[in-house]
Amino acid sequence: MNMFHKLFCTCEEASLLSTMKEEGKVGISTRLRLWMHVQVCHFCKIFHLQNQRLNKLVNESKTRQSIVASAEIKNKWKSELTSTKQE
Amino acid sequence: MNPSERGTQWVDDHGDLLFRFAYQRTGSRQTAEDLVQETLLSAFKSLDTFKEEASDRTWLMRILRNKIIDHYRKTRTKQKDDEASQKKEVSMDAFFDETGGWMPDKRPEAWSEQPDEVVEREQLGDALNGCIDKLKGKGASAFRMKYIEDEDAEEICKVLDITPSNYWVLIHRAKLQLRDCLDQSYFKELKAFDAE
Repeated sequence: MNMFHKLFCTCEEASLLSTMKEEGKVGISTRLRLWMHVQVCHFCKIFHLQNQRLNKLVNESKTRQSIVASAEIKNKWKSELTSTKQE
Repeated sequence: MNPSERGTQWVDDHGDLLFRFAYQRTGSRQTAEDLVQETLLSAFKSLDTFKEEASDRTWLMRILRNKIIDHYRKTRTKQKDDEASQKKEVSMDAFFDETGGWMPDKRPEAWSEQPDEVVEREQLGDALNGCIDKLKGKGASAFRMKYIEDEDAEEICKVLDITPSNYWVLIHRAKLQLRDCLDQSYFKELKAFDAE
């Protein structure tokens, strides 16, 4: 582990903290370490911004997703139900 | 309405919701179809004991949720080398070196701005959904439950039978994979196209 990672946190930790921060699961001192890391680490700064953008994109895509059961499987379920006896 | 008609009505009224609920938690159409079928049959067989205190939908969802928990417990029992497989599943080796720094080929590069055109936004949305579909295992389930279904962490840990620390590692890895996939499948393609 190099001096930079000793003083702040590693990129691996920073990327994890970036995600944990979404749920407010990160204390003030850890947030400060993340903030300091992101100020000096070009790649983690990009990751942090892209992580936030991903959340926004996933949120937008929710409305576009239409996960439905096929007519074929619905007929199969109905057929199983009609051929089953109650206990 | 006789029991048989009621069962058929369940499929029409709640089939899609039950399927979507199971699919988001298992990431597999086949597993989701099987779990919904088991749920409908369980409910149908025990219709006499249903006290009608809750709606049919709430009752069916409760049964399905328990079926999903059982599914993950059975999967876990089947995996004799579960600890090893979990460790493998949450490995970050592909993204970070031994010092915790980014691997050279995984270092994030800036993305282009949000596209204005509807078509481009749809392409980006399709690429994102394609990448979400590529996520595998419990990481995929944890991701879908958190970001698509807005479930809280406690519920996700319960359903997937995982610890809170494992939950964060799964979510973290899923995010890394998703970012990387979108980078490769959309933003780098876009950059190459613009450079032509």
